[in-house]
Amino acid sequence: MSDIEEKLWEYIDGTCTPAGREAVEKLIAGNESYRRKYEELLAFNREISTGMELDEPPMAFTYNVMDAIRTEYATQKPLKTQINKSLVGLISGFFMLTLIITLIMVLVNFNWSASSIAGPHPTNLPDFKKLLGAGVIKAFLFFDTVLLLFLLDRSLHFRKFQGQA
Amino acid sequence: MMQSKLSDIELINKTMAGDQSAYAELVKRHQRFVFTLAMRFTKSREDAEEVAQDCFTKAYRSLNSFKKESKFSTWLYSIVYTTAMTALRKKRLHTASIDDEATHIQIENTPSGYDVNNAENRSRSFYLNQAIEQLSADDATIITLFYKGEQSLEDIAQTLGVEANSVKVKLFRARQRLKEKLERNLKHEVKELI
Repeated sequence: MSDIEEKLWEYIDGTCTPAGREAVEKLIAGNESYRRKYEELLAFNREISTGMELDEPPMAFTYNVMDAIRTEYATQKPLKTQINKSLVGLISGFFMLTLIITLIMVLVNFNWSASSIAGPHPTNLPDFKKLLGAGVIKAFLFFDTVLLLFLLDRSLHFRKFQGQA
Repeated sequence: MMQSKLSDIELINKTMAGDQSAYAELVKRHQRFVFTLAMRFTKSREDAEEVAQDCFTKAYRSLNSFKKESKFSTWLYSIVYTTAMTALRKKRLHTASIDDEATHIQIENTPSGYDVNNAENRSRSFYLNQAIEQLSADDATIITLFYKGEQSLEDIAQTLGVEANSVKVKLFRARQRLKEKLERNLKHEVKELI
């Protein structure tokens, strides 16, 4: 790589360090061959900037792209389009939480002091009659309703998006 | 608010919310540059159209993975680059390597866009664009990205998946080759006129 040209291009592109810029400015001011080369490269740089033309795509290009997108989404397999990862995560999370809570309750209430496995040992299971009072059931139903509305909203939103696609 | 006044990120957000007209506006905004980049690789309008269309559908499919910290154009151009390279490989066309002079000569000798009879009517800009067409895909892409894509060296590095310093060297060499080709074409033209 020509060292002079490299420095001059860095100067023109504005990618040199402040010290490098100062050094190039001194060289251009004090050296005739540097100055001529700089002017030549500057003119060439201007020529590329202004003279380069972009190719024009066909008139119907945007329409074709959007049509291809619509076709692609319309022909996708229903299973692939309807699987919503966050929804799957939410449902599996709910089941995991239920399983963990059940496991914890069983472990907490298990009679670890029993010396033998012979014969039935009563385990201190929670009193479900107390737990399932009117308040708990109401809270449970409220949670279920909110979850149902949330899932319904997500499902409708997803279908709307797929329909537009 | 008019779609055309919205930024790329705002249009992407609208697209993600289900507004397809917002994506159509994004396509309109970037189609010329994407098509030009595709042309740099394929050297044919039909193939370039196919590659450019493929890029926009791929981008639509992957909008979820676009990180809004970087420019949409940089992300889109990286899709163009990989799609065009894949298309070239599929068609078993070889992108001329930086020092493959034989390939350059082969491209230069193709009759497209070169008509001696109308030489006196041509502007210097015509010869510049002709010289760009004669460059290898790599050289033409870097020059196009730098001068017309409003891309910094770092952006180009991200698009091409290389180091910024490497882009600097490639840009320097590409400009040198472009200058040589432009001078050669102009000399040839002067000879034809005499």
